Amino acid sequence: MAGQVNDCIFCRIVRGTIKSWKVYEDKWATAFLDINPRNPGHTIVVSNSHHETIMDLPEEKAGPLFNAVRKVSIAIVNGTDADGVSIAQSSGASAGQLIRHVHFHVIPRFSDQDAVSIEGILPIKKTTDAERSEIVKKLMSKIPK
Amino acid sequence: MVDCIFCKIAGGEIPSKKVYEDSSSFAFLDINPRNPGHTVLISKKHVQDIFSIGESEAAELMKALRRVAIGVQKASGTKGISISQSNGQVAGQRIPHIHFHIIPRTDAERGMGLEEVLPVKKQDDASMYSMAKKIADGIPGEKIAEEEPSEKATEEQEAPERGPKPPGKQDINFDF
Repeated sequence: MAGQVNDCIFCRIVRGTIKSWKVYEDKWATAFLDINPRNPGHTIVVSNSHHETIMDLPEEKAGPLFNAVRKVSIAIVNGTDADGVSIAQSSGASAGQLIRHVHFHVIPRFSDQDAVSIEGILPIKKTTDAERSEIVKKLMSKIPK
Repeated sequence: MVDCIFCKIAGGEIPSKKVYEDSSSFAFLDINPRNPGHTVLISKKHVQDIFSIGESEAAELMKALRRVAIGVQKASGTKGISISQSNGQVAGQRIPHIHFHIIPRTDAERGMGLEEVLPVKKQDDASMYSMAKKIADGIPGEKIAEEEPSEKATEEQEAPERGPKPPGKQDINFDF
């Protein structure tokens, strides 16, 4: 398959060189169960071609990759007892990205567990209005057209 | 939608620190940032969650997500970005309008992703098999065609690699 890297675990799962519990695949993406699930049904969705982060993913591949995430999410709530799903995507080691191949975690969530989200875990760091205006300017200048 | 705070932000009725807008998406600074540059991206159209959004709308939103993530990373100067999207109150979704949190991460917070914070619940092979089947059966739309038999046979003959793993890599057990 084009666009893959030999020593990447996720590329090898996509190719089928490493066994996995695949639940979905199409031309753009492959989804398989996480072998360290945070809840039963915890699924990883990867781009078939190798890109390290969402920033490296070409724009035209972004939509199809997320379409797979969407389908897997629907399948999880329809096919399992999950009441909701959390979608988590990390870029860079400081965000907890261990495998440098862009991937989404789709984690089933249940009503009898804590409804924690990543933004709920991280402490708030309030900013002043001036700081916020400054950040807005910086951001707007860096977002690609 | 009338009572939705995010619809009001997208419509300009509630002020916000906007950082990005296109025909279908709107991004603004979170008023309770976890790090400077913490941005929220919403669809302009009122859609509750990932289960309700249409395929083409989802694609447009994802294109915007990628662009905004690039901008947040460059502007914040951090190398790490966490993206979080919650579906259902059980997942921590407080506002029933689909939205993504794009959060710059610093080295000091290393490792604190949602998947790190939630404890692992190992499943046996039978459970994994049954779960994979349930999910696969529940995927909407056309299923992928089976691979050519000859290609599949070649790939199955390769044993999974069990060499030493680089430090810090996820410890994956291939003993299926």
